[in-house]
Formats: sequence, C-alpha cells, structure tokens
Amino acid sequence: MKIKNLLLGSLTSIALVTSGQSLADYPNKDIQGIIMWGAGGSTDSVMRSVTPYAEEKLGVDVIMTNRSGGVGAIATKYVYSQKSDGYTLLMGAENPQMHKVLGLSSIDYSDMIPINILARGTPIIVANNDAPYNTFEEFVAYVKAHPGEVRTGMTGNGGLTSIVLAMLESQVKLDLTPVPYNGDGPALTALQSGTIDVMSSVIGAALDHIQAGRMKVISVIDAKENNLLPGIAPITDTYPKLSSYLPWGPFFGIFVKKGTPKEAIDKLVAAFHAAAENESFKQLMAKRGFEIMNESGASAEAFLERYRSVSSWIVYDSGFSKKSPADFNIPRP
Amino acid sequence: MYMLNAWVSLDYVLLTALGTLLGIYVGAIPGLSVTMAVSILISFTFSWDINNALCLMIGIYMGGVYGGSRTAILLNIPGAPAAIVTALDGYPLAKKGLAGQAIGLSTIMSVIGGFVGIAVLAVAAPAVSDFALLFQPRDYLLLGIMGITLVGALSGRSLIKGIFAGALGIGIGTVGLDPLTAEERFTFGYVELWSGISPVVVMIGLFGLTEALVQLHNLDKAMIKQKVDKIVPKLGDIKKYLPLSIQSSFIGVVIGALPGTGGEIASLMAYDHARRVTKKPEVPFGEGAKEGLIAAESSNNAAVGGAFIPMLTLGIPGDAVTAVFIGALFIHGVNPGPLLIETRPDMFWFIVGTLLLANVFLLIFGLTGIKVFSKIIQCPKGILIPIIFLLSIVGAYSIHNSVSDIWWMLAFGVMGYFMRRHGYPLSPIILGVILSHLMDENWRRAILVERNDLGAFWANLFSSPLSLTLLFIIVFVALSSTPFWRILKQKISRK
Amino acid sequence: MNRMCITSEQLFNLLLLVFSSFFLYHAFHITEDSGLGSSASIPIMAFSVMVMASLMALGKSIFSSVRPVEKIPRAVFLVLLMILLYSLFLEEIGFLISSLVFIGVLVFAINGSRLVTSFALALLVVLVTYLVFRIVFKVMLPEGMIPEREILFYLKNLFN
Repeated sequence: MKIKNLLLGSLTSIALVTSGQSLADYPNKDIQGIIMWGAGGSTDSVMRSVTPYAEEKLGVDVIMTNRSGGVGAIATKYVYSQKSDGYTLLMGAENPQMHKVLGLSSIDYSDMIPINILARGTPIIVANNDAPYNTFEEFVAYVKAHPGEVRTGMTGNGGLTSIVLAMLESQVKLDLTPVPYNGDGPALTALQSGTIDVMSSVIGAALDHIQAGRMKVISVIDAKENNLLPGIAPITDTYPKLSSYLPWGPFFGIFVKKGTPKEAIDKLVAAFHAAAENESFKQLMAKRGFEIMNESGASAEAFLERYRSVSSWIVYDSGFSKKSPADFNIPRP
Repeated sequence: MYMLNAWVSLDYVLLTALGTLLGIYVGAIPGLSVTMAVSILISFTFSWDINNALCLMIGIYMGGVYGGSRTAILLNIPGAPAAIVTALDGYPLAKKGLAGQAIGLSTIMSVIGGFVGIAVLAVAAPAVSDFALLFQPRDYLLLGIMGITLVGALSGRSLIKGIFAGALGIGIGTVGLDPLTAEERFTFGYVELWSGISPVVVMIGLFGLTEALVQLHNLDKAMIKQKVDKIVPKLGDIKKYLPLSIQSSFIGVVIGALPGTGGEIASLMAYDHARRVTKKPEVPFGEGAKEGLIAAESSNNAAVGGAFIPMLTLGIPGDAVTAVFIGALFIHGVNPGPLLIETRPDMFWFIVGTLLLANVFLLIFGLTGIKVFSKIIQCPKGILIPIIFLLSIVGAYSIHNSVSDIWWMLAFGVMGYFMRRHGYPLSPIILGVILSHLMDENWRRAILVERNDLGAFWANLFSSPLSLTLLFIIVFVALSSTPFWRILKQKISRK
Repeated sequence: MNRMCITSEQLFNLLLLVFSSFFLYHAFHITEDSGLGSSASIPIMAFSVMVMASLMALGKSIFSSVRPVEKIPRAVFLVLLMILLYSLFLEEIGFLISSLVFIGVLVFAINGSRLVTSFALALLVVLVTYLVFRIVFKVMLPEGMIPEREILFYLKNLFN
C-alpha cells in the first residue's frame, strides 16, 4: 500500500498547486454505490432514479454497481469490508434486517449508518379475479371451508410473503398450499394465469394490475385505508390486535459503514435529502405506491430498529427463524 | 401513425443508430451484458427526454442480442447466453475459413428474425400475451424436457458421455441458495456461492478458455486463411433458407414472450427444430451446418420482439433486459402495464417504430466491418490467445464484480479441457445449465401445486390441451430419433 | 499392453465417478423435506444420472482399447498458473498492473516476441480494455495500488 500513498501524495501536491483545493474536502473522487438487488428490480430503479439528483449536489459521479445474491448479504458484506471513508455506499432494501435471525449473515443495518431511508411500501393481499371471495372475512371463511385448496405464492422464508402470512397466522389458522416463487414479479404473473389463487405483495408491484382489473385486492396490511386503494378495509378492521405491528413494510435505504467521518456523512445526508425532496422523484414514488420517508439520523435508526424487532419476532414466533432475536438483543415490539 | 414518430426526428434516428452500433459491441464483448448496459443508461439518460432515452436503449438491446454472435463465431466465446447455440455451428465455420460468410448469414437471419418478432408484437401482442398466460408450471417443465432431449443431438460419438455432461449442467445450475426456499445447495458454507454460478461464467470457461487451451496444442500450425469475399449471402441462398428462418423466428417470438424464458432457450428450441426438419444438411449439425446458425440467429432476435409483448401488454418482463426497461419507463413517468396500449398508444407504437428502425441499422452495421472482424482471428495465435485469456478473465469478473467468478471460470476451463481430451462433449453442459432453473423451479411448483400428489399432476396434465400438445411433441421427437421409428417407417412405406 | 496399468482415460472416468458420488451424497443432505417438490429433488436426479453415466463410461473404458491422448504442452500449465496468480493478486495490485504483467509474460512466452515488444503490446491491450470497461461502460475494475479514481477526478477537473 506504500505505493498508493506515494502516488496519492504526489497527486495531492499537484492538485494543491493547480487548484488550491485541499484533499480533505469530501468528496474528491467518484463514489461507488453498491445495489444489493439486480438490474431492473425495484431497489435498482429507486436507487437509479434518486442518485442523479444527489450527484448534482455532491459534484462527483456515483458509479452504481449491482451486486445481487444471498438475499442482499453479499452486497452488505462487501460494503462492510471496504474502508469506512464514505466512498462506498450500500443501496439496499429491508432484507439485511432479517439476516441475523435467519442465520444468513452476522451483519445488518445496525452495523451501518443510515444516510437516508427513502421510502417504504405497504403490503396488500391480492387474489385472482375468479376467486369466490372479495373481502378478507370471506377469504378466511372460504379457506376454513376448503382447507388446503387455496394456493398462495411464497417468496422464501424471510421474504415479504412469509412475514405477512406469519402475521396473519398469529391471529387465525389458515390451511393454504404454498407454491414457491423467486420473486413477487413471477408470482404475480402466476396469480393472473391462475396457478395460484392469492398472495401478499406490495402496492407498488400490484397497483397497475389492480387498476387494469387483472386481479383484486382483498386487504391492506396497515392500520388505515390507503388512498390509492379506496374502499379496501385495512386488516386491523378484522384483527385489531395486529395494530401493534403496523405500520410495517419493506423499505429502501442508503447506508455507509460505521466509522465513516462525520464530514462525509453530513455531506451525503444533505445531498440525498435534497435529492429525495425532488418533485419528480416524489411523484415517481407516489405513482409506484411507495410512501416517501426521506429520513436520516436518529429517526431513521429508530425506524430500522422497529422494523428489525417486529419482523424478527414474528418469524421467531412462527418458528422458521434459525436463531432467537434475543441472542442479538433485539427487543420485542 | 404514431409509429412514424420514431423516424421523423433526426435525433431519434441518430440515437437509434448509435445505440445499435454500441449494442453490437456490448453484445460481442463477453462480460458486458445488454442488461448491464441498459441499466447504466438509465442513470446516464436520466435527464433526457424519454423518447431519446428509449431510442438509445432499444438500439442497444437489438444490437446486443445480435452482437453476441460475433465472438461466438470468431472465438467460440458467446458474447451472451443467447448466442451459445450460434457458437455450435458458427465456430466450426470460422475454423474452415468461412467466418465472413457466417457473420454475413447470421446478420441477414437476425434481421429477418427481428422483423418477424416486431411484426408479431405490432399485430398480435394482446393475443400472444393471453396465450403466454396459459402456460402453467407443468408446461414450463415440459418445455424444459423438450430442450433437454437435445442432449442426444449434441453428444457426438458417445451418448453416455453426453448424458453425463447434460446432467452435470443441471447439477451446476442448482448450486447456490435455492431461489424458491433459500435452502443452501452445494454451497459448503461459502457465501460467494449463494447466488449460484452464473451460466455466463460456465460458458466463458467451457467454451472460451477450453478452446484457447486446446489452441495452445497447435501453436505451430499455420492460421487458417479467412475468405472475406462473398460476405453477403446470395439471394438464392436466402430464399432457400427463408422457410426455416421464418419458422425459427416464430419459435423465437413465442418463447421470448413467455415470462421466464428468453433468447437462449428460444435458440435451443429453434436449433432442435432445425435439426429435425433439415433432411440433408450439407455438413452435419455441430460441424458448421448453416441451418443451425440460421435457426439460432433468427430465433434469438425474434425473441426480442417477443420479450416486449408481455412487457407492453401486461407490465410483466419477458426477460432480464425488458425488466430493466420497465424500470426505465417508470423513472420517466410511464407505467408499462396492462393499461399502456390504451392510455399511451403513442408510447407503444414509438417502441415498435424504434425497434423497426434499430433492425434496419442492424442490417447496415452488421454487414459492414465484417472484413476487419474476420481479420482479427488471423493475427498471430501467440498474441491472440493471451488476449482471449484476458477477455475471458475480465468477462467473468465483471458479471458480479467478483474474483471468485474468475476461479469458477478457471475451474470450468480446466474441467472442459480434460473432458474434451477424454471424449466428453461440452455443449450438453451448457444446455443443462441453461435449462436447470426452468426445470427445477417448475417441476417443484407443478408438484407443490398438487400438494405432492403425482396422480393429480398427471390428471391435470392430461386434461389440459396445451400440456397434452407439448407432451405429444416430446414423445414424437423422442421416438423419431430412435431406430425403432425408422423400422416402423420402412414397414409403413413398404405396404 | 500392460493390463495392470491404468490409462488416463480410466483414471479420468474414475475421477468423475468419485466426483458425482460425492455430490450425490451431498444432494441427499440438502434438506429434511422429503417431498417430491423439495429443493433436493432435481439435484438428486441429476447426480444419480451422473453416477450411472460415469459408471458406464468407466466400464466401457476398461473393456475397450486405449485411445492415444496427446501430451499436454507446457504452455497449458503456464497459462493456468498465470490465471491463478492473476486472480489471487488482482484486488491487491489492481487491474492495470496485473493485466499488463499477465499479457506481457504470456505474449513473451507463447509468441516468443522480444520482452519490450511484448510489454508494449500488453500496454496497448490493457489500455483499450480499460477504456472500454472502465471509462465507457463504467464497470469498476479493481484499483489496487493505483489511485485511479483520484487521478480521473483530477483529470476531469482539469477540463472543467
């Protein structure tokens, strides 16, 4: 590493002489953004649509790279292995918050500093158009009358579908036949072709299909009605006890490793805060059914902690976590 | 009428041309994928007008799918998975000094395939997408089985070794966290293996690296002189192959339109089809049959039009690239979904128009510069081979930006080298890797939908016309390649 | 022919058999779910087929006559070693230097060019690759010892 320092030193002196600029000024080179999901996914498109505005504020390029795999663990590990100098950002979704209890990884967002929690989604339950039920009560009654006949799409343990189902199971026993999919996109397609009858998803992913009349919503997993889906009763109307978990939903955020200098964090926070304030970004998110949060600092950390505690205990109670949340000092919600 | 919008502005035309040209190179360089290029363009074209951005991206997509064939023919390194089948007959042609002709032919056939794909998209998009939705997990499974029967054709001298290779490919495809239940399969606690081994890595290792290693054996042999005259195929030849090209294109459109299957599976199916309908190829398949090249190239470019069908009618991506397109359209404030054709017919026709334009540019750029390209492989082996090695390494690295992919590439290269030494065919491995996910996921869905009840599985299979048709085709294909069939045929004709 | 001597083909087939059996064994331990649709179903099927096929290939190679195999040229080993070294040092040293050495050494060894010519050629190849991947398509290649991003930033500022 000596050569690097030497080169850096000589370069700094050149830079100082020619521009009078001090190297201490962050940022003085391009920043790397590591996206934890593949190109074309919702995390990818959210990050690629907010970052250009932040680039303007920062004055350098943010080069975004997709490092998908391991439900986000690979990207998280990578960013964690880099220097905490503010030049490597983790652009991710909610997944790492479950990694500890699922035994996937020993790193989650509590080992990172949130730069910005951009937005969160609201889960809903959608059903095939031909399904003989239109509300959540009718759905429960139908499942009770026809045990095992209703097929539901699942996206793996720890995924949104598994947590929503576990939430419901804490209130009512449902005998459904799970059919596995590798993402909610393919599962929503299967819902339309009748392979599965019902599944949970987020508003953003299903909204277009609902508006085109290709599937129907039977419940909103929230404590209040959603203005994009007027007339659909929130789940708390049926199970008021669930309100202790809600609002709950997947989110998108940008993080740096703990130990990053304050100067860099402040600049990044300011840049991404301004970027998420941008009108066209806000409109875009609203259209996709995501709720803008644009939070950083203590409030972002509180949100992350709450998400982790709710989800970890739900999966633990329903019996498919590998480790107890108590092992990681995650408090019960 | 909206379609003409794409052609009247000089900006649009120039951007489409630029995109197509860039795409050819992106496609040709292993490790640069069209998916990657298009997603980089999202942030690059962020502040642009949406139509401008679309022109560039569609150009890259069209050019990229075609571009994969270049390196497949010249170096035996398919630039993209969709070009794997192209390498099977394209590279042998280059070895005979016919690289120029092969590229010329593949260009014409790609363009024909492209036009068929676009035509179907323009005329019958809603009908095709409704048809695609009819496919149940068991039907995808049957498609996979149909593809795997190709092992027989790709095995060369030893069927047993071919079957071994095919099964190995399926096995390799299952490595990683199971995409359905996230259980670890053959990861041995190694996190880098969670996302599995990319088919592109296997491909670069088995095709590119192995071939380059084998080339080290004959360093002293003189280079094959490439004939660079008669690059554009004769009109008579095109006419002769047109029926096959059109048939392959239709296979390409349908497979491309199915969510979850793309150009690589389309070209496999078309290749299989070509092998069956071609009674007397001038040279056997796998040794430089033009029919094989035609089937592969027509179908994978037709699959581009196909992939846009579910995207523009249902908002469901037909492949990885259209998934990125959906993201791009969202960012520019257009919702590609079931409502698009009604609410934004201008957008739909603009995309169709641009695709058409990109296809025209493909013809122009595809037929120019062939001479330079085919000269590349005439540069001294001692220089060319190290460059191939570097390209393979960088290509493998840049898929996930990970060094462990270089090791896999190296491991597959070594394995391929020894398997080839001992008479094991390599292409069934790739076939298996490509089809592995399709078969694994859909077999399990098909049986889980029936709650692990095999009886119900068969009952539903036999009561569905679509599944029955697919099953019938498989049985027919399987029987027709056994000696039993030939005896039966002779008996019938004698009577 | 000496019957006691194992041919390389037999050895290779035996190796494949061991390899397939090892993975088949692991396939049975993927999951506790024993249903038809478990995550182990396709792997078990694939590796069973491999075990059977390699067994048959081994049998065939024992009872058939020996096919002569070419000797492996030394260049193959050199290349494999170089790729391994390259992958081990890539992140530490960086793309630019390691690729330069890689191409330079290989061209020198395989093509028999003069050392200077080899490295001049290597420099050209590396620069073109770098330009295409890093500058045009913004693929991050490992930087290693050269502070590329600082240099690029500096160069960019010169033009602004």
